[in-house]
Amino acid sequence: MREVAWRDGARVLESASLVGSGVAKTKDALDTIVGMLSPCLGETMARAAALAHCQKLGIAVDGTEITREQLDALLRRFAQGLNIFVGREKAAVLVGEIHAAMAARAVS
Amino acid sequence: MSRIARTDALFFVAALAAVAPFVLQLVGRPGGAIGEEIRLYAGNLAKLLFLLIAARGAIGSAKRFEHDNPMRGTWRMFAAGFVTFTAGQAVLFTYQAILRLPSPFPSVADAFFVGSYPFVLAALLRAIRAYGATGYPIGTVWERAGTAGAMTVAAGLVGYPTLKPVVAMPAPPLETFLNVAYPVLDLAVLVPVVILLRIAVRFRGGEVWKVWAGLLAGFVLMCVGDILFAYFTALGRESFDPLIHVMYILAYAALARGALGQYQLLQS
Repeated sequence: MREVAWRDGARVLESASLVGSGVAKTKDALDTIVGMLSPCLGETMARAAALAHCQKLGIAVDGTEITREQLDALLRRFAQGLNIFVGREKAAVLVGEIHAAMAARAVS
Repeated sequence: MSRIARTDALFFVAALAAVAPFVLQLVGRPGGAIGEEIRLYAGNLAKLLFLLIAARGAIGSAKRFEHDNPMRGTWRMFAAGFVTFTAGQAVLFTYQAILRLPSPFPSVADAFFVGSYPFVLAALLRAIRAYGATGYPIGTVWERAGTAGAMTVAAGLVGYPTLKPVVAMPAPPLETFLNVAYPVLDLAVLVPVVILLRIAVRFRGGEVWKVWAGLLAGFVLMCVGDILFAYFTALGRESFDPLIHVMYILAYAALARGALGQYQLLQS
């Protein structure tokens, strides 16, 4: 079921890439990531990790847009830690779901 | 109701049912010979069952983590510790529930119980190292070192006065050794447990928190149970035995929930 969701997400992502290199507003992107990781990491950790990763990657949290490259780098950082907490397979599923949610936002 | 919520409810009810006969005894309602029989079987079966679940959950988690994932080694160590611990409990179960004999102290069971500690300690230390490498904001190495130092001092302050009468009591050397070894090993385990608790609390509200809350609560309750056992045995206060059983049952239930939680987290 999740694999199907991931594949669907990947398709949406592909179509979203036509929209342009700006994927979403940074704040919205972070809210999406935090919302999707909270059931697993808890909201406090999801938010703290998002801010810490953004800081390390030099992503301005108050910036207007987060680029595709920045988003990919951010999710890679999240995935590295998620591997430890939930295993690589579930981490990949979670990151895929975030990509899909972000793409859906970009399209809408 | 989600699968996780159902599992939580099931564990809660099972643990409550298992400790109820001991709590009734503590409040002066032992229930005569039938109560004694219920405590014998319910207590032994619950402990063995919870430990089996903990071992199964740990083995399953170790298998699910990838070969190069540092948590695979952590869960392998937990699995080895829980399996060894289960073997010790199985020996006690055999004496008490099958042969219907009072379990001797010391016995083969103690070899298993003591033998499980190095595995558990290794697992906890590996978990701290793995979590530290995630890049998530879980505190600095210095914070963890400070916690370890403070816990070591606290363990000494609690351990010395508690164990002094235990050492002073005339008893066979092996018995004295074990009565001291259990609380000392428990206090040693508590050092990484508290460090992990400080890490895990940052995940509160999430599934990762539930895993560690279960495991860490289990180790803390086990420590309390062992200290009470050593203390009351030294003082000859057998009337507090039910309290010790309650601690152990709740400890094993919490360990089982934590280990199963990790397995479910990897599966879902």
